[in-house]
Amino acid sequence: MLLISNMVKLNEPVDILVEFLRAEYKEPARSSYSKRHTNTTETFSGDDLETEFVVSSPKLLCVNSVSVGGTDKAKYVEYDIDLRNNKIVFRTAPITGSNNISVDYDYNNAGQSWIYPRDPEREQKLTKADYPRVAVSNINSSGDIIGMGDDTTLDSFSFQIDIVTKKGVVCTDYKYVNGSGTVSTISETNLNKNLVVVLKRGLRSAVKRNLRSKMRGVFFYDDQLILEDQVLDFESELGVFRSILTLGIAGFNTGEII
Amino acid sequence: MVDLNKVGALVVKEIKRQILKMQLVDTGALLSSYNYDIRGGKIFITSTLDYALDIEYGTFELSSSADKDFPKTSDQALSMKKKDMSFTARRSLPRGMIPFAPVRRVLFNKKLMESIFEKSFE
Repeated sequence: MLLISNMVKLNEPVDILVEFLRAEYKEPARSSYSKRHTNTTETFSGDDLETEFVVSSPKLLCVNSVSVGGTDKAKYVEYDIDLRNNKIVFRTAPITGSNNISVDYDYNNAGQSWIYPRDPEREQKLTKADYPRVAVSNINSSGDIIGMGDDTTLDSFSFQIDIVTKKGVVCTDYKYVNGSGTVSTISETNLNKNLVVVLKRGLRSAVKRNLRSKMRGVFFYDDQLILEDQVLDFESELGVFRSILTLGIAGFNTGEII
Repeated sequence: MVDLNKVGALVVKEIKRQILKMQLVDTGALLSSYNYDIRGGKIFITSTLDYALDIEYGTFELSSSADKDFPKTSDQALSMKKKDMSFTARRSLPRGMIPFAPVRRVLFNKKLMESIFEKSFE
């Protein structure tokens, strides 16, 4: 079973980005293999006291949206996510109401996703069914105090995102979600080098269209969002096709427990 | 005006500092492989070693370009070609390496690059 490491509430910038990508970068359909993400919506009743709500599905992968009384709540600002314990943790208890809390999320009974923090140890156990796969590494971070006598830091991060597939893995339908949640599907059949190029196009689009609206108060664009974009060809002879995107993302006091 | 030679030299110095900081030094070959080149008003950061690419971006499989002596902990794995190994032996090999990114740790560090440019004005 593959799990994101060491998570209770998501705090590490790399884990926050992974959860964001899982929610906004939709997995394409695959020939011969089923999708790893299953989407569902569940409702809960608020009582003005309870802040923690456990979803009924066995393994929460990401949260697409949360609303209370029909009003959307901001991720990591109004609520936190505990993937290990399948919990949504509100910072203020939702008001009393019958089924007034709605949580739209993805799950997988075995805990398998297609987007993970980079971990070569786990990658030893991968089979063809685990591809395509997206791996996120934090390659650089720095923080600047924003003013005299102020402890707030403006943090800058560089993330390397690897999109990897194996020879012969075929994908067909690619879903693109815009900032307002509209999903459109493009039907194409791709494999090998073409597949990683197409998946990277989708990833770029998912980040550009959704980072500002869905990660408000958490991450925002640094001076330059896409720092580097390339397909690495030196592993193709080993049946590994890989494309890399380096993102520059900023945030205030990112990852600090409030 | 910015002295590009100075920028190049300082960037390479910082890359080497990153390599030392991450303890990616065995024979010193990687450390001394980085250099810079100025062509058409642009600075090119270069390395004479094939595996500098693996160090920068990490690997998902053992790259064919990986040198047999680096990294030390994977001697056996890196000195053999995977296609020549038995299935069991192949399964026991490490599948990848994280991206150490010594070059991008410098180039994408805004504060560091600002200080390099400040030091490079003629």
